[in-house]
Amino acid sequence: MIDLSKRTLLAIACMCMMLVSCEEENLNNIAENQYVVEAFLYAGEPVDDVRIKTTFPLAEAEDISTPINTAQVVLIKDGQQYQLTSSGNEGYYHYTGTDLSIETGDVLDLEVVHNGITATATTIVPTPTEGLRLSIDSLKVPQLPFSEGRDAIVEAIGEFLRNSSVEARWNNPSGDLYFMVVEAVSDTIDPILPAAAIEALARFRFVSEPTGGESINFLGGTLESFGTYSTRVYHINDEYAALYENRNQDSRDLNEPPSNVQNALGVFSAFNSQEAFFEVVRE
Amino acid sequence: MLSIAEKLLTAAFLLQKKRGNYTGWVSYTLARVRNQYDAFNNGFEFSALHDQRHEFKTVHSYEIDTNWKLSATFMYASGKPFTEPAGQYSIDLLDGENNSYISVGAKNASRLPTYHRMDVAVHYVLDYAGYDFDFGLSFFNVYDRKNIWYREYNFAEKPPAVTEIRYLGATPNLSLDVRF
Repeated sequence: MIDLSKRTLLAIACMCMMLVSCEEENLNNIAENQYVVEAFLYAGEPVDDVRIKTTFPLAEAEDISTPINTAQVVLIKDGQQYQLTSSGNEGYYHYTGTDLSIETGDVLDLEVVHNGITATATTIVPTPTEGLRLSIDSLKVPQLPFSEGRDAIVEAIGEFLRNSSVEARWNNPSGDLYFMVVEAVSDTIDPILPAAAIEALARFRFVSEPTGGESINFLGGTLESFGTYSTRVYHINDEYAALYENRNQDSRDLNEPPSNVQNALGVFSAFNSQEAFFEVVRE
Repeated sequence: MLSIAEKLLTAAFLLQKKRGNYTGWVSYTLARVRNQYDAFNNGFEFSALHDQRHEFKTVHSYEIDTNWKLSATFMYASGKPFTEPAGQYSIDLLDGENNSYISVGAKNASRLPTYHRMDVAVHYVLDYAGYDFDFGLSFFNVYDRKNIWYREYNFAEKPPAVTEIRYLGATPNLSLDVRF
């Protein structure tokens, strides 16, 4: 027969109460009140792409975050503080003065204060892209043989797409990361292909992801309109490239998302770039 | 200076019967394990991954006669801690894409569901031609409890897809053990 003294029983009871009562406490308030910083700076351009917003529930398919328009946002360059101003109701902030310029090699600090939490981040403005050249100056689109039936039109479109490759090339001896954006200079749409063909081509949409190479190919024929196009190659930093990393995780070791922002989520990064142009014209 | 601490509190009980046709034991462990690092989780204390508040195990074996033997095992354990996504956010990228990311909740502040299962087995032992044959039929996780090992998240989907990775369900086994 087990003989337990009153003192032993009391000790066991106390230990049980202590353990059972200590349920999960969330002592880390930063994890619960996190906000998101989405701040991009471009060399030679005004500071107007700084955005602060909330997170939103995991079960939502659409972004239902709430813009934060009342944060204190300061950009610091060479020890000098530049107070940013809210741009409206969308959570964007900009600098209103004329005494701040974003230049190659600048080391910039961002400080955001909201809800009692101070978030900080640092980035460096990379060197501009050098030696950007395109494989063509203009892309000629042939007349579609509308009078020869559907098969002939489909074949002509396929032939045009296969021959519409445009290569952008730049100097990258050190294997840095670059990113390319192709966009129409004009807002006016002059459709290259019939609407039905454009819809069918949606899956061929060119999306450039960060590359450590020195060229990117894309199909000019998948562009929507005749006209002049700007091809801009951005020299990017690691914190921006990290946003494209594999985003599958499991609960055994759930990692913090890629972020160079301390005490908050998101990214603060700077870009430098070079631009080249090409035309899409009728043959 | 880096400071690391693991705080462990446990109490364990064991009751065992070793003699006779019926043998077995019952055990219970009450535990709390917490970690604290200067440079992690903003210096706050959090539950260790192997922190299980309650663990109860019981093993029973009964020899009906020299040939037949029955056994059963049951275990129950509190869910292990894990870090749960607290929410999500999206970033507008320069290529026009809008990528989703998670905001990670407090470190190891959530718990997986409790783990429990029962295994049963029956053995028939036969002495034939100088050999001992042991025929066994057992059922692992006999009531097919869907115990969760971990959760997998795919944040490339909207909303992020959550997949529960489970331990083995009800599984029958046949065995033959020959001794000579």
